[in-house]
Amino acid sequence: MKRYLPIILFLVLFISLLKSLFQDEMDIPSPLIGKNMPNFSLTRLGENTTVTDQDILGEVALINVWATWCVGCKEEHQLLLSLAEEPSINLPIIGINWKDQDQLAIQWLDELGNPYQEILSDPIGNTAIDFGVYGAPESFLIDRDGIIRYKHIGPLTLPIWTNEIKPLIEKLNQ
Amino acid sequence: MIPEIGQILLIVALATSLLQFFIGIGFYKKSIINSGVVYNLSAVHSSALFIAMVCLAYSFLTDDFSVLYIASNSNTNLPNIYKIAAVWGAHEGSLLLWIFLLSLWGVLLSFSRKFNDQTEILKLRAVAIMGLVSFCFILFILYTSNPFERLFPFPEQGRSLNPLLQDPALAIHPPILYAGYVGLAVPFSLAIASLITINDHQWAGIARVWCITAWLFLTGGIALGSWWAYYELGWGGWWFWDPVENASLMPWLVATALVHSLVVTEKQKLFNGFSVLLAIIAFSLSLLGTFLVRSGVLISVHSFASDPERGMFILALIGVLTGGALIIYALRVKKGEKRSLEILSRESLLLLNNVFLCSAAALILIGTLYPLIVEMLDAGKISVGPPYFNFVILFPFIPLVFFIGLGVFSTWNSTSRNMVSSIKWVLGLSLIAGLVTAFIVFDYSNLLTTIGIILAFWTLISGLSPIFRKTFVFRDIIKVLPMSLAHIGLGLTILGVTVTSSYGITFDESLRLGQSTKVGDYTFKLVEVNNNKGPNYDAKTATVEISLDGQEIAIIYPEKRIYDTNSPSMTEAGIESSLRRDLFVALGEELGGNSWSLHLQYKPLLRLIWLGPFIMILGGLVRIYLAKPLTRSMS
Repeated sequence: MKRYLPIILFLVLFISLLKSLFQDEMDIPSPLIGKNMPNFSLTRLGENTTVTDQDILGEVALINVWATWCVGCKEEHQLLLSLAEEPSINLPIIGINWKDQDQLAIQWLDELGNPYQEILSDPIGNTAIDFGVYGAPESFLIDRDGIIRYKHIGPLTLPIWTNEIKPLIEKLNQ
Repeated sequence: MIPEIGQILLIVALATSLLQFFIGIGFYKKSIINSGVVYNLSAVHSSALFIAMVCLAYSFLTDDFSVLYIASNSNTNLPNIYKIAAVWGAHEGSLLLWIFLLSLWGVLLSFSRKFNDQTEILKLRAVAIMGLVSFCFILFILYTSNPFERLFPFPEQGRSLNPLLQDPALAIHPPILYAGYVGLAVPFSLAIASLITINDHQWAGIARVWCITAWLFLTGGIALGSWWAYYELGWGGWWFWDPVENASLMPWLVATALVHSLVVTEKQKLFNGFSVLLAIIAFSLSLLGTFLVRSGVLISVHSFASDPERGMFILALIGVLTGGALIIYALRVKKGEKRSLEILSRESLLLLNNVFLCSAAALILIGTLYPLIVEMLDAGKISVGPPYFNFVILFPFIPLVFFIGLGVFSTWNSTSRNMVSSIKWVLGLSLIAGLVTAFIVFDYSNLLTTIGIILAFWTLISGLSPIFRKTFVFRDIIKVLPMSLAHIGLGLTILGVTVTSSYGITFDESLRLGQSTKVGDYTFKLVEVNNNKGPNYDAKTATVEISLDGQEIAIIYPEKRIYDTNSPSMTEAGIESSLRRDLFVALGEELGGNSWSLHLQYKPLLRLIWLGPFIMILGGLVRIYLAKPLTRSMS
């Protein structure tokens, strides 16, 4: 029986790779969509004050999980900056700095610019786990009542913004 | 016209590879009468691919933008050297290179030394199997990624090569790394050839030197890639656990295990099944690497092409080649003879360490495929990224490195009597050297660092010891040299990694012109920032003066380059290096008021990380020299 073990393991791997090809990777359905975002209480990056999920209610907001070690985060950073700077877009972006060192994160933002209205530090990753984060970057759109309406895995791009997120925000704001 | 010739040559190569497979595998005759024909076919096959590559290079040099691949990866301003490098700078061409190198390995195997009549059949069948691999990949090129595809109407000017790739190290990086990837096809083919023919341990003796050669290229490719990332990506890191890096590290780990396992199989006739399996896994991981990079399943800085159709095709190839190989393995592998293993004998220690190496590869595979696996199992709750890798890799590596040292003193079949006495002084010396380094040369930082430094010296000194143990006879020394050099190299790399990660200093600071700041003991002064013009880019060049204790020791010129094309700026770091430490400056943004942000680093012993692989490669070269695979035998 032992001799069949390699081929069985290989088949498992093969099928999962096959499945991943047929599934649009950026579109993994999250069981959290349509539910309240998880409760959290995190410290602000580089400060001692805390922010809870209650503090960011009241507006449609984008929660963006990022880290300095993540290459995709650098990729989407320019887009986040332009979203934050564009006056016609009124979308608070909340950053969750994930499994990172505060010092490095602050330098990163100094160098590349800061698109975030609030940046919460999640060095151990507990809150990210509650959000069901697969890897960084990952973004969540939450509505006024704190319900998760949309989730995107991987760097945000302009087509995703214009085709998916923007129309959704307009709908939620009506 | 020239691109069409290239196209025809690809079809010629396709046909010859198929013939090479059918004749070589023995569908026509069970004998090996046709071996000469098959070997010559492999030469024709490889020449056709080579000339096809020359055709592509020629079209690049003559700026033939009617070829889609050239229009998207070159323009008239590109320096000639990069026009040639652009041949493998993107997906289609790099695959062509991949297949050409594969065919070259086939030719080398074809015309390699004859061992004996019994193993001659192994060689023939292996060349046939390599023909099949080639055939699959040429089909892949022709169907999904044809580099000779024409474009109509064609543009006046091309789109230029990704500026990240316009760098000497990156021009030679893919050929070296690919040579390593596809080189693993040789032990793979020999393993399968053995399963379907004589089915015993004899393939190991032939496969070993090929595996070492492929391993050399992989080592060189990985080291070069890491060096490139260090000075070109502008972040000053040297390893990012990026999927593409992982894709090269996994085959390396398994190939390392294979090299050691083959020694046991050859010399002790043990672990034959395990060696066969390692040979299959090593090459499969190379294929998987190609899949991960090309399919866009995982996101990475390095992958320059992604297309689900291509992913599909490569996955099908993996299914056929790996799946087929594993089925043959399951059907044919013989139960090894039962022999009880002495706990501290060389074969036990090698087996143990091969298991650790494979576990390391498995952990990296899990981390790399994690997003996909989670989806499958719905398991969640582990996180991915460098924090994961840096943590889990320690579990197989710490015991691995400990047993590496032990293995050097062991003997075949029995627990060595002299083991304790020879280990005593090596262990003592490693402890002293490690503690001196950890406490006196650098300040004490933490337990893990201290253990890492001691283990580095343990690997290094135990690797050195066989050279000094024997009386100085060159013939004896050269026999232990490959192993010694490989272990010394590994020790140096571990030392470099540990010291750099624990004692390195990295931070960003904004400086006005004329202002200075301290990085460790060194003072960095931003003198001026000028505008410069390169052949196909504009640059801002900073002048940074570095001094130590008031003495100026170096002036470096970090740059920010804007290439003429629509792409973000590139960072060319300024680096002042010596064996003892690297000083690194990358120029950031202009902050106004003559002020600039700078990324500054002090990295002690960083160079050892690349010196180590270089010494490992020397060891491998000595081993190949000793084996002389290409000289004709006397018999």
